[in-house]
Amino acid sequence: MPILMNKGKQVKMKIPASSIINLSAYQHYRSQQQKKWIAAILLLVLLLILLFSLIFDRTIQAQEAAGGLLSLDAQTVIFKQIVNPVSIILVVGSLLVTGYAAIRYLRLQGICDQALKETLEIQEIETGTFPSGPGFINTGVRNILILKNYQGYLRILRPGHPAQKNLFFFTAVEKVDQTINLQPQHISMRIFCRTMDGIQVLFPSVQIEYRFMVNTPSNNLRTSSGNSATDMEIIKTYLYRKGSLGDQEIIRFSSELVFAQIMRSLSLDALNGETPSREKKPVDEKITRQIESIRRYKINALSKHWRNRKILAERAEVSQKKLRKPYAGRTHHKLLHSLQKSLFTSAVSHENWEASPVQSFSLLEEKLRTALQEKLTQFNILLLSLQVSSWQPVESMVKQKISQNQGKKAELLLAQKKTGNRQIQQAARQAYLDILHEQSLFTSPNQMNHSFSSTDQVLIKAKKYRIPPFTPVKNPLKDKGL
Amino acid sequence: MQRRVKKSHSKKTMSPLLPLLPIILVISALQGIIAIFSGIHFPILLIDLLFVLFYFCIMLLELWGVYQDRPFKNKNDLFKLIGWIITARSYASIQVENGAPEIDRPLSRQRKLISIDPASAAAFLKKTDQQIQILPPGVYCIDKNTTLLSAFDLRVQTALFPFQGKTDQVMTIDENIGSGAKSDSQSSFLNASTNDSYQVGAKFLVRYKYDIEFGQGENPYGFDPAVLRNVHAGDTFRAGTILDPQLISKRRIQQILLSTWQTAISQFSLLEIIPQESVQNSALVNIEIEIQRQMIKGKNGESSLPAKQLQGFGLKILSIAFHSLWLPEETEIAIQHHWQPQARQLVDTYQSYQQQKRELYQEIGEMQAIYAYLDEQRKAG
Repeated sequence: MPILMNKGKQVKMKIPASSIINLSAYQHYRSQQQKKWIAAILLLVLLLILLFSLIFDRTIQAQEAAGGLLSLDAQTVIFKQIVNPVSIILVVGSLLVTGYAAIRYLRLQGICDQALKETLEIQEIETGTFPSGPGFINTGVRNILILKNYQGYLRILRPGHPAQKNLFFFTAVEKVDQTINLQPQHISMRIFCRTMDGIQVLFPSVQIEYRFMVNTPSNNLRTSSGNSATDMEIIKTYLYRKGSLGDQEIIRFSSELVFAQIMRSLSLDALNGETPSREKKPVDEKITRQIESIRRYKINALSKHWRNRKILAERAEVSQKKLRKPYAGRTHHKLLHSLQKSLFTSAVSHENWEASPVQSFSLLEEKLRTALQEKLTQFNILLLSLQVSSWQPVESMVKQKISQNQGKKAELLLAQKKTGNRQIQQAARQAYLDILHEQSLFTSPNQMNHSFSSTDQVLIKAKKYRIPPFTPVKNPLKDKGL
Repeated sequence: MQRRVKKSHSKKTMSPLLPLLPIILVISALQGIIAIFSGIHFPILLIDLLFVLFYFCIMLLELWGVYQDRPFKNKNDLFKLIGWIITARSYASIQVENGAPEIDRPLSRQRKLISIDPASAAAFLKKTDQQIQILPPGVYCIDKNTTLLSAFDLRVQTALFPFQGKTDQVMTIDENIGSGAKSDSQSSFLNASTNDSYQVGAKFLVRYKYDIEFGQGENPYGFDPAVLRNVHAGDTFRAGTILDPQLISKRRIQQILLSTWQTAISQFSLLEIIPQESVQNSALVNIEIEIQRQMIKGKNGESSLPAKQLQGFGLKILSIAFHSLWLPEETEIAIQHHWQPQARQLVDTYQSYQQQKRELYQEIGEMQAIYAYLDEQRKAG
């Protein structure tokens, strides 16, 4: 019966054979131990007989030398005198003390330490102690255990379901090499890298969640046994490829490489979401296009409004009359119509500022995730999540420039808010109207040429802004105008 | 993970007969006393001899139980070891794990019981013929005239180059972590000059192993004594020191890598390496490909000079990649000055947009003024 130690206390506990994974190895160890003890006991008995025989023989010889041949009765008396319980206990005791001295000597020399060790839990191994056998090890359900055998091979212990056998007997020539945790693991780090144009940037917080590609055991035995060959291949490949690295080191190095490679393909402008320098023109073109489309829309809108002023005035009158009637409630459901692209609705085609060739941060994050996943797959590690906080430049000068730039932008925005588009528009209207009024005041019979030039100027502008021809007013009441 | 190196010493072995001596004395005295006070006669010497025999038999049984399953590659080693113990000859017990022996000296004048794990192999030097003997994983009894020369780690190694190792110690991976930080000095990079004489430093992440396939020589990580012997080709052995093949390999890789990196970068200018135009590709990509081509042995067996040199030292590069880049201070300032106008240009674009918007609204105001004026004119008749 193996004696299991638990935190210094000696606990006698019988391990049921049904819970041992490699029962044959344990039985072999047990039979060897038994053989050793049987041999020791046989030796002891043999020596006991030999000792008493020698003493008896020597005593008989001495007696015979002194007084002639001894009779059988006399010999029996001598035998009883030699072999009695006290003498047997004395000799056996002496032999046991001698045997104990031999074993103690070996133990003091550190040679003989073959006692069965306590049942080891994976958690104890993770603290950094790598024990050797003989002993039992609880494989658990969340870890793969790698044992190294000094005969020159590795033994891989896959986790078993708690209902199954869970104790593995490892011999004196085996030692725990490492464990692979099957639960999701988490690592956070900060990564320094350089952009394509040489600016050093820092990702201050990169959070990675990952796990090994082998699943924890399930109740479905058929499924787990079916995948065992694949799992073993996955574990072997992982062991061979990782070499001297730990899983956290693999993640760290892989992340650093992936970030460095991807950032090396991007300029700082691209990271900022700005258009690259050579692509400034398309941005300017976009701005001009947008301004021009707003301008066209305004010209059309004003022109159309002027043309339809009569209809609009009549409609307004009809609406006022209708409003005087008592409201009888809505007779139909209001339908939601999508806006039709016409002169008044969506005449301004908005530029798609977002769909720029510049890579946005979310795209960058996706790119990083894909590349890291690909890299970790080589080690049979599954990337569960990658969270990257926004990058920041490492150089203080660059930081300063960016903050200056942002300050300038904010300043421009504030200035724009202060003035306002409506105010600009009203001010310009009033100013131009004043000019036109001034010019009309100066119109006199002797200044016909000036009047002609002023009217001509208005006509040119009217043509430019597609102002419809103005007909004289017949009913001033109906004419609401602008 | 760095192994703690033990101060090497062999066990102080006392004679196995010493613990037996008091027992024998007591037994002899007891026999004498019994013989005096009774008619029983004892063959005292013979009985003492039997006790000694029993003592050694128990010892042998115990030793047999301990060592019979040990993977002694040479079967005689078991008897040799039992002989050492029985005859009280001192020996040192050494474990070689993951390419690191637990001792700091080769213990050339001592007998050694060496256990080599599956991830390691060990080289021994015979004093008599100065021949190097490479041993695979297993347990060995080594005689006095054989010295432990070195221990190999057969697994895949990953290291950042340049490694920060001193003359007698190797920087571990743990120490290397975070070395890509900003605070790194020029000395922690492999430096080379561009063709316009700018200094550029680089760190490389290299995965390598001894030029042995996995599983070769019935070892999971591969074992080939001929290849491992090449690792020590040209090495000088100093008495009293254990060579570190991992450190030697790193030095060799670094030397060849530096030369390849310098050759590759000298063909490009600084602005080709860190292009300031986004449409231009960095020459670093080409340099990385070139270094990989030079240092990694091709799948078809063809290899360039650096790869052949490494093969000559028993090494094989599995992968190599740029880890980080270092640029001198003047380059950093140049980059910042280059970047500054770009930022200004960006603000200018924004200002131009605001200006155009202002002009547009002024024009709309003008438009409305003309409408209002014409309306007044019309109403006036």
